[in-house]
Amino acid sequence: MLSDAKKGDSGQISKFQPQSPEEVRLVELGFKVGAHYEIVEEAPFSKDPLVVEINGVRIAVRRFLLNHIEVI
Amino acid sequence: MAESLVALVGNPNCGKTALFNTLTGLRNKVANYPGVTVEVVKSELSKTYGGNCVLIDLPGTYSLSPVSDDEAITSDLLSGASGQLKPQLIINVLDATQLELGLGLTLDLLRLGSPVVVVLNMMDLAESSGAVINVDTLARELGVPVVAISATKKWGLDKLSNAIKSSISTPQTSKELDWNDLNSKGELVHKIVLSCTETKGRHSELTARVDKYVLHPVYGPLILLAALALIFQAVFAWAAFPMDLIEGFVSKISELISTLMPEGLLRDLLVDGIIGGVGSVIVFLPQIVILFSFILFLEDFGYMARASYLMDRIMGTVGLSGKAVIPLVSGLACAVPSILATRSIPSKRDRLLTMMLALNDMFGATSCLCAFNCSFYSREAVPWNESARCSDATALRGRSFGSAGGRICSKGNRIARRGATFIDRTSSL
Repeated sequence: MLSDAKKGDSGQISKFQPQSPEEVRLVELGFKVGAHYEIVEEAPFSKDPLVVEINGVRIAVRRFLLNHIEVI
Repeated sequence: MAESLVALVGNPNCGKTALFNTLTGLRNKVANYPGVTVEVVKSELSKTYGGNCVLIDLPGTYSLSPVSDDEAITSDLLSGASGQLKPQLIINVLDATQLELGLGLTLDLLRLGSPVVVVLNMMDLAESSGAVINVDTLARELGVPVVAISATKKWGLDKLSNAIKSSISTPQTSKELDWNDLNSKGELVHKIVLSCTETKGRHSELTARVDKYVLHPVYGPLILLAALALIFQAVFAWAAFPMDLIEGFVSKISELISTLMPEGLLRDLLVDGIIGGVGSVIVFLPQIVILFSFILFLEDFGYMARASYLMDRIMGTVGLSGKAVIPLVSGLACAVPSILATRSIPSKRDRLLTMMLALNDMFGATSCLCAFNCSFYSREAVPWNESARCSDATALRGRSFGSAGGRICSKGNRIARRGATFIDRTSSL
């Protein structure tokens, strides 16, 4: 799951079935199957939210929104 | 008379309003932050671009499956769901520097079946960042006319006017594009982007280097703190000088009129009502201008997004997003610009909550009234919080009285310092 990723992790999104309007928005912002991701930064202390770089775009997102994104 | 409806649709912050102004010859304000257009703006298309139809500027959206209120407006209007006229032509504005983000919406629009003209805005920026977009290939892939322009530098507009004219006279709908669910839509977008861009624009080295510091777990919050302190200092202290000037100017005028006019109802109306009333509003102008300059400046450099990221956890504990931090901090100086600044918060719920919280900030005028109240209640030794709360209510009431309340408000900043020491004294009794 992408929600378990740590700073510096990278890989590819393997499965994502959006289940809420917010998750649909994530797909529109680039969180698509096959997209390459890299965790650029995590917020201090709580590690939440985190900055994900996807398709060359940096997106800050709260961790719980990434719960349904499977990665390899 | 205008006959047909042409809609401008695009992602937030892709230059729709700039293009709208060019096409209609109007001068609506354009600002570089999301949510500038929160209402639908209509105007007649100017003659140079075909004329004879009404152009509507719609709030930005990423798709036709709406998440926020603004997006619902756009999606309702385009599908004709709100009982309004369905637009005859859709002008889809894309930010050429973020092609992949915008094309998802384009595919949604093509599916509606209305004729679409795709406009690649900010083409100059895309080219300078090294991304070469082949306009003809994109047009072939989408099956609709594609025009590359720069709305601010005003090039490519003649081609756009031709495209609009020919699309209105001979409507052109797109070929069937093959996608069913969100994932296949994403793949299709990716395929189209790959086929029409030659060098894929990566974000610049500079961004990565700056992010190393502004997103850093230690330096990041420190930089944010410095930025907020600077904004606070500017709104609280630097604005005091122009505010005093305006206040002095207003009181000069009312003095002048007082001496020129005979005593009576008309003089009171002019001096206390009109001049006093307007004066107490425009006295906030310096604070508003300074705060909004900062917000626009930070938004322009992309720092607002980073500030939201840094503050998200703390703001999350009260159910807000990180974007609320700027309105709340500036609310310490004055609630008026602070409430105006909540515009930049996308969700309606967060916006209202931030406004409510900003009203409870101890801003200058409030602390003045607080001190005033303390002097009333200090004999019975009312706890500090209690008197702060009731002075909040007094401040609100005072403001609704217009000129009188306004004048107290405007003097608040100056009295605040005296008030603050006063509170310390009375509350320690």
